[in-house]
Amino acid sequence: MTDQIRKNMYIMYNNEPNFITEAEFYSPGKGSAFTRVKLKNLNSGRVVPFTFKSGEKVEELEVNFQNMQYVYADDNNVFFMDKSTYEQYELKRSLAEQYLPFMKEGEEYTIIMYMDTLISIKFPPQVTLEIIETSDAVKGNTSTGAMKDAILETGHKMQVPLFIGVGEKVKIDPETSAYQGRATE
Amino acid sequence: MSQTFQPFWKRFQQDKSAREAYLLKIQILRHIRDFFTQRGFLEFEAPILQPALIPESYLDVFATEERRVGLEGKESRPLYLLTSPESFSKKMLVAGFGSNFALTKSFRNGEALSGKHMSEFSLLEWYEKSKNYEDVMRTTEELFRYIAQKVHPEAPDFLVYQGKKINIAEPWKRISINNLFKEFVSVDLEETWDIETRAFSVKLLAEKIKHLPITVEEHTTWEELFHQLLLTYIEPYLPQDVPVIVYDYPHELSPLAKPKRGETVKELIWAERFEVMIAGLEICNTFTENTDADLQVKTFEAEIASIEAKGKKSYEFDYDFIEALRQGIPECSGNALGIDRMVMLFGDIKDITVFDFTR
Repeated sequence: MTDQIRKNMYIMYNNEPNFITEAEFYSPGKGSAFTRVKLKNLNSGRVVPFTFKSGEKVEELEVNFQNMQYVYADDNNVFFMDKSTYEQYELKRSLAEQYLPFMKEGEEYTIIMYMDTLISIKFPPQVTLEIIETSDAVKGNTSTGAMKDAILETGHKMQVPLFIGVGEKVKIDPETSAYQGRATE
Repeated sequence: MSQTFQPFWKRFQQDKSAREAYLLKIQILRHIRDFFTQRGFLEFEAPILQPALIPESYLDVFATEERRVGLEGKESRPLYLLTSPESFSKKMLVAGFGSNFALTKSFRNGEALSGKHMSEFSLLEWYEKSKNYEDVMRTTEELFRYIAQKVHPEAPDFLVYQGKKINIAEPWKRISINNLFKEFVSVDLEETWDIETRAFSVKLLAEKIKHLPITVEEHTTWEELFHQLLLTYIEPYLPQDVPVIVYDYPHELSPLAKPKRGETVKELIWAERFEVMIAGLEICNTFTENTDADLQVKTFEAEIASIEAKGKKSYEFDYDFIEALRQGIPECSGNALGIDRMVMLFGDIKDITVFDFTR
């Protein structure tokens, strides 16, 4: 149990594992202090606002991290394999939905486990992926900010600047799905 | 919030939006002056250094020491930076001045480290003589419309804040605290009033929220549960496309307000107080002012006990304020409005610290 509630913490809340995606100290003009959080329920994937009283104790979950290979995803689950045991694990699709557009089958990812259950992916803050389809690159002006459609090697469609061509790699922030620049290798 | 120190003058040199924010604030200060002056309000200049403050258990104060030197020797005394012009303005009403406003820097210590709070902030307080909080609701609406006309006359009916379009032209949405609790948490707070102790009961409230994942411990207070419910289940779901006037707060959380007139007066359950929420920002806090000196003595005692119970740093309490009330303050209603937050709304500024010159 801890009263040090902070962002990116795994807690047991309402008998379910939850991840704190945002946390902020808050004090109403005429009241006690609170910690306002956004909780991601790791069973349903739903994110809801909540408020803890200042000093309130929560049960912090001890989570484990393990590298696993992404095998495939269906409508309900995402399947991973532990390459050392060849054992297959599943993660509820709702808990990985935001990362799926940027995941490549066969790649390894860091999986977060609580007890023996997969609860999330510790996704890198930036991913580099290849463009497999887009209209021809427009050379020259790189500052206009104009964008065009492109398809990533994962099959995900996104917006990239006009000067990006097929076969180039781009950097993406998986949290916001935003283009962050051309990857130079 | 950025913690890297950059001198403000460099920020203004490099960041056009910071310059625009400051210019907008200066402009809005002028429009506020015009608005109230045209309506015959007197502008007060409230003293910043105060020998004593009204006890408010949820505020931390800035204390300093005055040292004077004369032929007779040296003398010193504690002084405090004002937390709001409230005591000053009300004493001036007792002294015979009429409806008034003050634009003043106010100071509160121990504020949240967030993009919505500063230790030194610009506060507008105005007092309307012979008026109640419903009158002030209308003045507040008119003040926003007046400023919108001045700062963006091409679209005076709307504010656009962080992607939210807020209609300020129509009458703002009004809803009482108890109706919010009934609607969002299915709790009638009046049923948590203990008629024996004549106070809200944490036990009665805890029983009503057993189905919610809210922890109630031995030391949990009614106020904590009240705010926890308000912040968790109500505030995030308030309409974002119109300003919301939330009114009739619990009297025990509103020590300077007049108890609500009507059937509940004898029990002091509700106070004639409102706050305005716009796009999730709390903009102002308003009361029909309490004029009853005996009641004010009781709330002083309760607040002082609460300051002691919390182990907060104590300060000189403004008993002279009670003396003034005892002599007789006219019926009036006052509003305390955070100017920096108002500028944030009109300038679509995300972070209040653009006005913080110490960081």
